[in-house]
Amino acid sequence: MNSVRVLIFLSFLILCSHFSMAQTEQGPLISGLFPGISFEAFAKRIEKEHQYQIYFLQEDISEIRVNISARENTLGQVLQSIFEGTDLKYFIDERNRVFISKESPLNIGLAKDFFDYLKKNESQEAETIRLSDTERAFSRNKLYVIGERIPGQQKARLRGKITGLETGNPVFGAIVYEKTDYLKSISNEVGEYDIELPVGRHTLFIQNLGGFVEQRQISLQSDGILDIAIEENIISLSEVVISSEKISNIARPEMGVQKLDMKTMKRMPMVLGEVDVIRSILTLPGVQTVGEASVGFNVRGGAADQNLILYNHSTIYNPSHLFGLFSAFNPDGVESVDLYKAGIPVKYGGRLSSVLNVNGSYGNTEKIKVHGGIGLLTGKITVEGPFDEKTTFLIGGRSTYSDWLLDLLEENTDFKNGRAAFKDFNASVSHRLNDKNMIKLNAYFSDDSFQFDRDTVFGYQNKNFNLIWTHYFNEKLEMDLIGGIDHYNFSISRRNNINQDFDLGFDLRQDFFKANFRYEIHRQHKLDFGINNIKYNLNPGYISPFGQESLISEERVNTESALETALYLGDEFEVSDRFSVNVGARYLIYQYLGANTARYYLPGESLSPATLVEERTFGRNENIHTHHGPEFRISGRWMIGNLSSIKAGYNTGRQFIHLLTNNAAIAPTDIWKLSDNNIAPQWADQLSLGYYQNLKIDKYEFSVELYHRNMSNLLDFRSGGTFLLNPQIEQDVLRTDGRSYGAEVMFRKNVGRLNGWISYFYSRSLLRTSSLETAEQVNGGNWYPNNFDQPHNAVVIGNYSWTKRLSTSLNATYSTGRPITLPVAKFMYGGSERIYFSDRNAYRIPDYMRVDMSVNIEGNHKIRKLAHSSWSLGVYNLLGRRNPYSVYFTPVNGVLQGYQLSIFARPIPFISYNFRI
Amino acid sequence: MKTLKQAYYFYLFAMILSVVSCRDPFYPEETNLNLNYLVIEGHIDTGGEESIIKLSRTGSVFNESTGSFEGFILETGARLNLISEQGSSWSFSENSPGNYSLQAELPSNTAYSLNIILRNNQSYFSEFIRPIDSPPIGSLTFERKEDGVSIYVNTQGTEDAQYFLWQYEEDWIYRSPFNTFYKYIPENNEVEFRTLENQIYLCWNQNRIPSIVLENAGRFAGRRIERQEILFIPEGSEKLSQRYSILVKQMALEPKAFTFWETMRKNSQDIGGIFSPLPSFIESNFNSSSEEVVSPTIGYLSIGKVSFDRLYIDLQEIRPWRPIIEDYLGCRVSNDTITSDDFEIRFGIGGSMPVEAVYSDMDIIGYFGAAARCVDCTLRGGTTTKPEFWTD
Repeated sequence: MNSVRVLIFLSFLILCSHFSMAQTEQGPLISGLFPGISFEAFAKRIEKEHQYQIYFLQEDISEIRVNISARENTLGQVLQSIFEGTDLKYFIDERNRVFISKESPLNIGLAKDFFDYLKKNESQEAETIRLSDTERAFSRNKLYVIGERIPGQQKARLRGKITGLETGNPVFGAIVYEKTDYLKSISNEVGEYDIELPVGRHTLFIQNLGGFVEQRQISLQSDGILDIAIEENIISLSEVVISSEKISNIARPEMGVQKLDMKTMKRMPMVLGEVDVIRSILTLPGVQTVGEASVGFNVRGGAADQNLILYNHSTIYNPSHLFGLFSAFNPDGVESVDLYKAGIPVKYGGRLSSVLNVNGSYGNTEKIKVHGGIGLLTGKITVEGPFDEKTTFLIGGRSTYSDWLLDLLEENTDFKNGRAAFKDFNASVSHRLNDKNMIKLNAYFSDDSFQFDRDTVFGYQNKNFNLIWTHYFNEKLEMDLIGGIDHYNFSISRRNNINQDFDLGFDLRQDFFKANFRYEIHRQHKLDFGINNIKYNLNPGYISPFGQESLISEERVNTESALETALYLGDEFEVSDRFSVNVGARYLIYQYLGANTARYYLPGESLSPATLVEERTFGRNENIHTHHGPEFRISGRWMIGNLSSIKAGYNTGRQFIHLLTNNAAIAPTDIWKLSDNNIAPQWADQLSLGYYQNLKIDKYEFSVELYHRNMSNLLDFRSGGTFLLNPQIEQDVLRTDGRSYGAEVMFRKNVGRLNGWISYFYSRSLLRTSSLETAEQVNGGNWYPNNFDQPHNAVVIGNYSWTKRLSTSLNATYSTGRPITLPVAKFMYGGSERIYFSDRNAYRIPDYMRVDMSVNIEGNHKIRKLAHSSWSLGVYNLLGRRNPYSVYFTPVNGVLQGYQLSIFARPIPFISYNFRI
Repeated sequence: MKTLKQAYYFYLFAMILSVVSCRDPFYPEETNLNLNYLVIEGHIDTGGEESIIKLSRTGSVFNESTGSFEGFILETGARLNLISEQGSSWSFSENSPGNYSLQAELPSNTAYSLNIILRNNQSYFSEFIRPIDSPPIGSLTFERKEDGVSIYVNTQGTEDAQYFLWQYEEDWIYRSPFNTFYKYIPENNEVEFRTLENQIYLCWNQNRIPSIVLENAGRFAGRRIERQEILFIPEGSEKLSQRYSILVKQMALEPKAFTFWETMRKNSQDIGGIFSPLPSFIESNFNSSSEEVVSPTIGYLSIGKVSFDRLYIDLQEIRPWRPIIEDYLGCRVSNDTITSDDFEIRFGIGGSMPVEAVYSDMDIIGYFGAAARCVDCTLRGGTTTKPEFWTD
């Protein structure tokens, strides 16, 4: 029987498309009367009378009654007539073996290769794989009988928990579905799923996002439980490399959601070989950046400060190291990344354009593991595992270990005492108190410091801490209580110059509390509701003299504080199998609080010292100004057939904290500003429409999304405006409206040796000074392109696995050059030649194009080997194309000369080593 | 503070990225156009000193720089009138191409508008501007530093006058290496005694390029601006080789005019660096009343009483100071006697000048000569005429 199982398993492995007809065959002809006997009896008789061997699963044929009269028919004809009206298929090979299988006939042509393969690979390693494959084949094809048959019951409820095969951790977001009616369920954060199915035989498919499709044969008799262990990290024949949403992509009610798992990110070629969360998401359609050395990213024409970056519930205000060359997340602590471009879940808010959810791991439940790696600049180590049965932890750290890059420079530049260093640290602990209660703790810290001379040190830090209590009231209602602190600051200190010594800085702290509830009232209605509170304390800037002799005068801009409260309610409503909607709303109340001095200006006039009417002082926690209003999240999905769907969505958002910058890129010294009585919250709405199709049993997926977004109360800077240490920032900003629209097309191949995606997106982002603004109208009050408006974008990500251990990745990116303001004339003024600039962003720098390549070599995968190691080597910017980052003009021998500055102007090779114990 | 920050960034970035980054020439095709916008520059002094308004046109970005006003197309033959709110009018006269001058005591309790009618009859007018009188300059000081001399202004801002603009004029004495009491007269091929009035050993030079310095007194406690650096003279500059004078003009601006200057300064500096600010739009307080003029005007007129102060610095105050002047390298007095036979060749054509007489008994038999550049200070741009204001 075992061999039958293996063979049947193979049929599932190899099937790529449906065969409606089995191979026609010649062979012994069958005659005789088979009057209502069981298939088993029929098979026995055929085997006895002819030279056939018939392989089948008892369960498959249990309900078959053979009632035929044959007269010199081929076995094929006989079987075809027996199986008519069932989903059973047969296959007869040249050795007259007959394989009966469900749904698809066995295709032996490919299976032959597999035998060869098995024969050839006699090493220990191959044994291991074969064994594990066989084991998996067993559970995949074993028929699980669930419950006892209750007469008259039509439907039954199947519940259970999905865990990782290797880690034992609950798998969140896995989809359990069957393909006849496309009934499905998605596992929750503790891996639990719940699906109602008609009583009877089913093939359940379990799809982990970014993972492997697992399946179970079940015979569902009545309500019952089936726990399923699935692979998370896949080293197998049909491994899926690139994360996919597959069925979920077409079936999920939300749209504009992208997910990347660590495995995909690890294979992407990266600068200096550092696996990088933010650089990875830049390969997704709709995500752009102004250049290679910028901290921020732009989603669907939104500014960089409109992205909420969450790392296990902590808001990370500066997600970068070294000016954005690296992102601030240690890849070993990260499981996956979700980017919500449109269908932002109702429990999140506060930023207009996207939510980037970086899911950190809480550690392996089985055993203590150590991961680490060494790249060209950094070293990192992570330890994870269980403390005891109920507690798991993960602690990781990363640091630059050398200034070789700068040392290299010292030889031929004047930057003698230059130093740049960064480190980050993350810790997560999860503790299960009992079946109903769980506590999690997260801490994150990052630190950057650098100096270009002996005297000036620049630095910035993120510090985050939070505590989560998850409580299950009952099977239908659960609650997350989250409390924490997020902190960000930067500072510049100057020393050794006696009367010029100073300390300068900015810091921002938010204390937050969130209560999130999820209530499954009914199979069709899943409610999310809760309350989020954020208390902001922002120190907009200070400069203080250092030492007795310093001549620098102390300056301190008043600290700001505010309380943001959001109440939300959302309903995931499955109207029918084909139609589902997500409807949600948030109500926001934002209070700008004292102690502070509020300035009031003449209404309708530009804010300037001349129009200042009154200054009023408020005491601590006294309410200075309240902004409030609703936000809506609506999306719907309509399935067309089983493999495609249409989705539409509309959502609005409000944002109370603004990043003020007058650079094209985000600089680490850009400051955040809270909305107050003069600066209104930013507002945006987005309308989006999408079409999704999966082809060839989810092997390929295709999607098109269109969107249009309006934004208002954005802040642009006034001419000559400065932000740092400016106590009246409202006098230096311009209220600006924004508009963005675009289309995203993506074609993705998820399985096979060659996998990856091709995407093209068109994206415009335009700004216009608000007509209410009287101070200044940029470009005469017309629409002008945003700094990151790059209309045409194309990305190709390809990965080819030569063997299980060797793969090559290629990454090609193209985008239109970003807009720039160019000098168009010069004139004499104040004794010097001055430059007159064109309208804001009237020109563009040359287009951007880059190809990267990497080779990933995995060590062997003996399960019980002490350490697993892997190497990644490759070349960033393979073609060595000099992509301009910026263009500037400087006089050379009296003639103004334009230059373009390219950051990674030549091929940059890299190598990194990682290990896992 | 802002520039400090940017400078740090730029250098830091350059440092980190210069390993991998690179710089290539960039030639934008589209911007090689000639916009020919009108540029109006000037401050009108209500205190009775001469006010100059300069009119010129913008040039192409890629024209070779002459570094001078005259290198641009100048707007000549225009008629300029200053009109007060009360209706009084003062007209300017063009004292050199594109330079229009007015010298008048103007009442400071009214607002003024400058009207300009160009030769082509296009007319422009400024907004009405209320004069802001500058408080007197507190003091001018200087400091001898390791690598040069810094000149500072100290001033006390007031409620009205908070934003300051300084311009300066420099004058200095310099010497040629060799003094001479003789003069070659080519007409009769003789060497004569040189009178004191004709001396060419001591010259005055000047710098009238109006560099600008800006500061906001509101930044400082009690609106007191102290040690605001006006100018830094690097070590070895000839300016301080004998006696040096600087005239500092202090003007008080309205906030918008100050922003204008600041923006222009920033736009001309570090544009296009990694973290450089984006170029800002330059505002103007001029409008055109001619319908056919749609292009913008560049310039921001300011009006008010200007404060002046002058500082002298003598060599002995800053010693040691050793100017190195390239023109004087290799200067020496030749030790061959040039007799009258050789006068024409050596002094007439040869570019030498008689420096020292050679006596035999009591008679001059010839002269020792030196290269003209080593003797005649006027060859290096100066004048031997003492400026009117100069005091010793």
